[in-house]
Amino acid sequence: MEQDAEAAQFLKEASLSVKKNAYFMRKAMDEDNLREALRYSAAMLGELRTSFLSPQRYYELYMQVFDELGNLEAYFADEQSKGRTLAELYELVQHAGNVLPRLYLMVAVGCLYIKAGGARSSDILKDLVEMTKGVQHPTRGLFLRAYLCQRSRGLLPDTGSPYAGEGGDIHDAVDFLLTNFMEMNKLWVRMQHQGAPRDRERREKERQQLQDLVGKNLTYISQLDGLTFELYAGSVLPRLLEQVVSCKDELAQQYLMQAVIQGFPDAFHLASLDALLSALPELQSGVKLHAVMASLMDRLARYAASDPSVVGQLLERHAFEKFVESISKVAELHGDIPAVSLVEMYAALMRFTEGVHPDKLENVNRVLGACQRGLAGKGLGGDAKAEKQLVALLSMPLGSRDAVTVLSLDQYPPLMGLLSRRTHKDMALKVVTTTLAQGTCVSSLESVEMLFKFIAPLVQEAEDDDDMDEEDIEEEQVMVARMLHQLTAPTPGLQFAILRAARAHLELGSPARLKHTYPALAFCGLKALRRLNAAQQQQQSGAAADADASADANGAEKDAERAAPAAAPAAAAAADAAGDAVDAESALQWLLDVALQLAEVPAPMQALRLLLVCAHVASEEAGLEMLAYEFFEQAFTLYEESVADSRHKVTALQAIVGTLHRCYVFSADNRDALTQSVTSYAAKLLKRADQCRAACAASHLAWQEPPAAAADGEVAVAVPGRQPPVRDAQKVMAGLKRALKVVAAAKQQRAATARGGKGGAQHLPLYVEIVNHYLYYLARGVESMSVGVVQQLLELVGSELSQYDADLDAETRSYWQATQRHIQCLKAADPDKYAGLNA
Amino acid sequence: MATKKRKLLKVIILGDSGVGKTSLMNQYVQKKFSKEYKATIGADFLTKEIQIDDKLVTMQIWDTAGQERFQSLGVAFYRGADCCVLVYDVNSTKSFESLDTWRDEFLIQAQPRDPENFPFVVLGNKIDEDEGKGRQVSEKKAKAWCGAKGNIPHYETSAKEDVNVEPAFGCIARHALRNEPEEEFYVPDTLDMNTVQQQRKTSSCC
Repeated sequence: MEQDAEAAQFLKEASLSVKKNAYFMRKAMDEDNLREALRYSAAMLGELRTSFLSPQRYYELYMQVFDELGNLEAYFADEQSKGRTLAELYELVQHAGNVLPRLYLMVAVGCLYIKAGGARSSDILKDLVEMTKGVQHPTRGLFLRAYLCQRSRGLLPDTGSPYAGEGGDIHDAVDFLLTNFMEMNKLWVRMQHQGAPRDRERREKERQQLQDLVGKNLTYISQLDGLTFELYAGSVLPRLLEQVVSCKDELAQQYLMQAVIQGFPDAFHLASLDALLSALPELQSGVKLHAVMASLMDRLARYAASDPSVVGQLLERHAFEKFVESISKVAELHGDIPAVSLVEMYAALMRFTEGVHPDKLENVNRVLGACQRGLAGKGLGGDAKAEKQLVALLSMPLGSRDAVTVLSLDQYPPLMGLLSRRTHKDMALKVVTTTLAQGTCVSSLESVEMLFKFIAPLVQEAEDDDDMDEEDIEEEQVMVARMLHQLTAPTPGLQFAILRAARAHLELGSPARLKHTYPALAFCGLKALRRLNAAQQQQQSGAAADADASADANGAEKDAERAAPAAAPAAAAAADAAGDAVDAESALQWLLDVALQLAEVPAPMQALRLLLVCAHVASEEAGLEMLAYEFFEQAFTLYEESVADSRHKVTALQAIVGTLHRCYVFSADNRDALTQSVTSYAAKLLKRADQCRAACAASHLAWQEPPAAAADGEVAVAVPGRQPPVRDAQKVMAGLKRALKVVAAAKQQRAATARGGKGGAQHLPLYVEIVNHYLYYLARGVESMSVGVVQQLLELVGSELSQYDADLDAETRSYWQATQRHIQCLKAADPDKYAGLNA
Repeated sequence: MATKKRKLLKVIILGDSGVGKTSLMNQYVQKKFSKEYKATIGADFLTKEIQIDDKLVTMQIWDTAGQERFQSLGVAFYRGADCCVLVYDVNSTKSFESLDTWRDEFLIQAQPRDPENFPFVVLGNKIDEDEGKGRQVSEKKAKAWCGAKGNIPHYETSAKEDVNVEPAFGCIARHALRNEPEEEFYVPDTLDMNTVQQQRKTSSCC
């Protein structure tokens, strides 16, 4: 800091001195005193002899001097026009006592000399570029040479320039600039080796500040009108690269490679790619080649974006392949290259191929594979930056393509596996959300297998998942569950193959995950089963139609109409037959396994519901009695062994009754067996009220209505093995009797334990409920249920209600009133039938 | 007085990488255009002599590097500027949004005496590109910005097709001319310059 203040003070003083000398210089010029003007200008330039200033400060001083030199140059030009020869001036400026001021003045006069046409441009330039070798101090030398090439700009024998021809040609111009460049680079590199090692950091900083002075030469070369590609590729680039490589200086190489890439036109790079790339392995090991490579690839990608014809040229020149090769060569040479640099290069390569050849999926896969191989053995080394880069790389293909296309990238999952668990998961979630957002159907077995490789961290456990709570898991697994619905194959057989494959993966997860994913999996299975049934029926009806057609030629036209829509499923069925043939039985068997596995999670209620849904499907859609029976039995086992909570038991039993009531597949024996179990479960419920309600419900198992007609738009399915509806009035009455017994028991119990007060009339609403069941059966025409039987119950209930009127709660009261109104309606609608009823 | 100074106007062109700073300068000074992008390294100028009304002036037009990596020596060349030209690409919102930064940066670094009234000129370049289909910055939006910054003159240009380049630089020259020169006049004291020179340390051999 102290040194800094000192330097600032020094600059101030030097600047003041420049001002003073400039003042006297201008004064002398005004007085037309050339000698004095030169004396003061030399004194002014003398301030640039300092070694005390940092490059940026030196530049400030230089700019000040530079502005003043402009006045001197104008004065020289005037002097010349007044007849003083340039030779005379040239002689005069050599009187400056110090080398640096003398050389500045000589450059100024030399350039005027060229302008005046006094000598060949190239000769004078050659002289000046030689003479300036007299200053070997890096900073001073670099600025002097910067002045030289600035002043000579526009005076070079460039093609089309007035100084070309006699004065030389484009080759001389290039030679001049290249020579100056090489000399400057040498000065710049030498700086690194001067001074104490402890100042290394400061020195490097200063060198970086000076870099543009060296790089400026490249801009001048690049802006020459005569610079054709032939000249560039044949002479300029090889000489530039030779200098860059041979200087063996990291900082210079790093900067100059970037300067070459940025400073020359795209078309040149495209056509000289080999030369550029072949220089890379020759550079020092500390050079950040990834940045250089990335710059080059990004430039060419932008070039291709701006000009479509470039894409073809890039293909022709195998640019992509060359980049792949180059990167792996670079990685090989620099074995210790940090992961972040490596990934950065591949990310740039990915950007390149996605930008230039968006249709070339194999390129994407190659980048992924190459990156994975490059990182093999070292991984990301826990570098957050490298991981960020890798996520960017992996996200690129996801952004522009649909998920299924991405799934064909077999190199993707292994590379993704290098991410940390958390990031890996985020990436997997991204794949899932992309699939969902795009509504993509994953329809082949290979794609599904791949998909599960992509999302493995969402499916399988890892040790550090411990910190996930129930909610986190749910959130994540719901996404997986949603995704299962995107797995849709063209044929039911393939569909089951896909679901089996999915299950094999899901199975690897913990029960906590299965709980969320298995129900979705099972319902996907049920959906597939329906498709299977529909396809088979269509096939059968198609076969029937064929039979019709052969019998009746007139039906041919009609048949053709029908065959068209049937063709697709028929073909699908044929495809199924070839490999993944599946029938309803095996499908249901599979569902049974899934449900039982879900039960073990444990999730008994979910499993039980699933079993019931399957039982119903087995009965009503597949017509498979034994399987339907099996589902019920398994559900009963679950009910007995795994459903402990009394409320759950009530709900479960309701569900069982509801399902069984809608099943028509069972023979009398099987149905009796199932019904008996239900009846005994009903009797064993904890609360009397529940027992009563369950008994009522169970009574319905003995009285079925014919199956409901198929919903609109669905073809009524002729289910094989369907039994006629059960109609057993005796059993209905027996069931209701059981219900009434329970109510009576409840009433007695109440009387025994009554301590007065409210809550003692719990049996009353049960009575009303039973009345409603009676009314239902009466309406259905159950033979034992006569108006008289109902009226008897009504009277009983009526007296009970009036007896306990004080205890009656509002709900029961209004329930009873509604029932009474219902009876009035019945009587109004059908007076003959209901005349005997009196509530 | 043979050396009565010809008026020199210093103009600095600033703007993001690739907006066409070099192209505008080359079109104006040399009537040249190259569609190829070549990054400019460091800062450098071209001069052009022009007549404004009855005055002959020399414009020193400084082209600068838009890429930060090629601006290593700092911006000492801002010093003494008479006008600052801010360039954006009408097809790039980002380049337009950068104008604020470029303007602030210039005012901070150049420290003109009267920053409020320092002459700026804004150029929206590349109006030819893709027949204007890719335009992202409307003229209205740009004019609004210029209006809010103290009525900065605004031109839409095409360096490639030489549209509005001449009028824009004419305007630049007039504004630069109006800028009061900030010469810090040196008033010589009575000290002998030579003795002053010798008292100060010099650390050089050449």
